[in-house]
Amino acid sequence: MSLESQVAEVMSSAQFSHESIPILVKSVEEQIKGSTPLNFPANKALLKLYSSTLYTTSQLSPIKSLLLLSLSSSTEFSALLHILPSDALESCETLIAMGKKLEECDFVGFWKIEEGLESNNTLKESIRSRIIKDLSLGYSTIPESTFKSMLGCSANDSVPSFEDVEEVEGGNVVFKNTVYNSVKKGAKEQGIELERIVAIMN
Amino acid sequence: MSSEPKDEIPSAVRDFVFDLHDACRRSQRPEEMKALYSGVFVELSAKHYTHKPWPSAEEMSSECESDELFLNFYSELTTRHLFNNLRPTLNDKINAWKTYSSLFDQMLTLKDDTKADAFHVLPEWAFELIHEYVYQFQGFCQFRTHLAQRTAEEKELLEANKDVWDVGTVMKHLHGLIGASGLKTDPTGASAHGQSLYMMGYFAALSLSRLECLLGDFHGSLDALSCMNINEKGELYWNIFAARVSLSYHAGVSYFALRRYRDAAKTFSDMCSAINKGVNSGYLKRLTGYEQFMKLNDKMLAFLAIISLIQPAIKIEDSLSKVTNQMFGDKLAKVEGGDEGFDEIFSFACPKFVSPVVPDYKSSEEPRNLSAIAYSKQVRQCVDDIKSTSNLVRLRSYLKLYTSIDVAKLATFCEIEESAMANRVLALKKTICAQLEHQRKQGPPLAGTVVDHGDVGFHMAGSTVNVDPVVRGSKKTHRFFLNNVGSAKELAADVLQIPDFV
Repeated sequence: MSLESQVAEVMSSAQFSHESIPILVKSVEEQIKGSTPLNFPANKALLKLYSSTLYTTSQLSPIKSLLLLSLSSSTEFSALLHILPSDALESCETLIAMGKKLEECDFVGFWKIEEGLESNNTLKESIRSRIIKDLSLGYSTIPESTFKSMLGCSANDSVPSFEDVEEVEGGNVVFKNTVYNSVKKGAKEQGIELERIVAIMN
Repeated sequence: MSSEPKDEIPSAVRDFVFDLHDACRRSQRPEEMKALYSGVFVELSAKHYTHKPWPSAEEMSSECESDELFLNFYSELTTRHLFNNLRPTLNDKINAWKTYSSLFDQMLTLKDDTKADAFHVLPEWAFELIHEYVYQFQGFCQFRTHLAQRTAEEKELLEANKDVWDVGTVMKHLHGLIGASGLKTDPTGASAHGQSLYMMGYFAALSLSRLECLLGDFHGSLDALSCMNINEKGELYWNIFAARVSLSYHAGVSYFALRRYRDAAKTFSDMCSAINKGVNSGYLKRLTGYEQFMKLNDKMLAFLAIISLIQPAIKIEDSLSKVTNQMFGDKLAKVEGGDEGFDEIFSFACPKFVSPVVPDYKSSEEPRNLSAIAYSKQVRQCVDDIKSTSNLVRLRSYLKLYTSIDVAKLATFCEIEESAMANRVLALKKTICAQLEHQRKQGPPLAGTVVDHGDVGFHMAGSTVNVDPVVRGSKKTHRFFLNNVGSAKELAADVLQIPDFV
C-alpha cells in the first residue's frame, strides 16, 4: 500500500491512535523532501497525538518539520502553534520567531533568522510565493533591491518570475494592478437630489 | 452506585422509571418524555435524593424489562444527578467513565440494529448527556494534571486506571457517534439509522466543537460544526438555549483565535443580543442554567470589547457597545494608554483550556500542573496576537488624516524605524484586505471569502503611502446635512416668529 493510501486510512479510522504516529511521521518526512504534497490535516493529527502524550525529545524533529512545512500559510502555522506541546516551545523558538516575522511582514528579518530552509528549495519557493502575495497586496511598486532582500535573494540574483509581478522597470518592481494596490478610480455617487436642495435654498 | 435496599425505593420512583422506559420505547411522544425528564425526575430528585444518589441500574432493571440500552441512559442520568448535587469521589469519576463508555459502545452497535428506531431520546437529553461528558472530561483532565494536590492513594488509583478519560477514546466516541448517525452524508437526518442515534450524533458534533476548543485546536473546533448551519433558526440545536450559547461561545472563541475577528464579532453579537432579549422578556430566568448563560454572556462581551479596540473598523451594535464600555471601559482605556491589560481581559473571557496528557504519577520530579501550563500557553499566544493587531490601530488613525505620506514621516509619528514602519503598513493592509469572512448560508463555518471591509484604503508606491481619497469620503454624509439644513431652517423660522426677538 502506498504511503498516501496508508495516511488516508489513518485519517479515516485511526487518527486518534498512537499506533498511527510512525505513518504520520513518515508522511511529514516525505513532504519535507517534496515527494508528496503538503497534507495539513495529517500534520495536524500528528501534532495532536504528540500533544496528548508526555513530551519526549524524539518528537522534536517531526514537530520542527511540520512547523516548517506550514510556514507558507499564515492560518495553518497559527493553527498548529496553538496545538504545539508546551514542552516543545523552547526548542522551536526560532521557528516560532520565523512565523512571527512573516506575520508581521518583516521579511528581511525572516531571512536573517531562518533555519532549516538552506537546502530545501521547494519550501523556500513556497514561502517566497507567500511573501510576494503579501507584497502585491500593499505595494504597486517597490525598489528592486528592497524586493530582492525581502525574498532572501542576493543583489546579483535576477528578479524571480511570479504571476503577481508585472515587470521590472527603472530599478523598480511593478506589481500587477489589483483593487488592493491601486487608487480606486471615479468618484462615488453621493446621490444628491436637486429638488431637495432647491426646496431649502429659498 | 447503590443507594438503598430494594424494598425501600419509593413507588413514585419505580413508576417514573417504568414510565420513562415506556416513553422511550413504546409511546415515543416528546411531550410525555419531556414531562418525565424535565419535570418528574427533578421533583423526585428534590424530594428523595437531595443528599444521596439515585438507585442503581441493577435495582431498577425490573421496572424496564432489563432493557440494557435504557438502563445505560438511566445510569447516565443518575450519574449526572450525582455530579451536580453531591460530592463525587475519584471512584465516582472512574465509574462515570465506565457508564459513558458502556452507553456509547452500545449506541455504536445500533447502526447495525434493524430495530434501532425503536428507541427515542429527547434532543435536550441527548445534548445534556454529551455536554456533561465533555464537561467531565475537562474536569478530570484538570484533576489528574494537578499532581501537587493529589494524595498518594489518589495517584495509585489513577495509575491503575490510566485509560480512564483517555482523550483518544473520548475522540473515538464522539467521532464514532457522528459517523454512525450519518450526519456527514445527510445532515437532515432523513436517512439516519434511528432517531436516538441521530440525536446523539448531532449533539456529539456540537460537543466535539467545544472539546476541540478546550484542547486548543480551533481549526478542528470549527470543522466539527461543518455538518450544521450555525446561526440558522431551523437547526435542531436552536431550540435548546444552552446548546445555542455553548455553540456560539466556542465557535466565537475559535474564530477569534484564528484571527477571523469579523466572524467572531458577528457570532458573539448575535448571541449577546439574543441573551439580552431573553433577559428583558423574562424568558431566560425561567430556564435552567440561567447563571451559566449570564457568565458566558459576560465573557462574550469581553471578547467584543477587545475586538472593538483592536479592529475599530468592525462596528459593534450600539446597545452592546454601551454595555461593553460600562463593563470594560476602564480596563480598555488603560490598555489604549499603553498599559498592560489584555492578559487580564482575555483571561476573564477565554475558556478553561486543558491538557489531555496523562501525567507520570510515579515521577519523583517536582510535580507540574500540565493543564495550568496549557492554559497559560493559550492565553500567552492569543494575547501576543492581540497586541500585534493593536499596534496597527494607531497607524490606521494617522492614515485617515492624509491623502499621501512618506513612510519616513509616519515612522516619526509612531516613533519607530522607517523599515519597521513599511512592514507595519503592509501588515495593516493584510489585516484589512486578507481577512476571511464566513458568508451566511454558504458553506461550513471554516469556509470564508476574502472581503475588503477597510474603511481606509491605501497602498504603497516605493516609500510613499497613497491613501485612497474616494474610500475616505464614501460615507453618505449628504443626507445628514440635507436633513439637518432643513430642520435648522424650520427652527430659524420659528425663532423669528417669537415677539420682540430681533
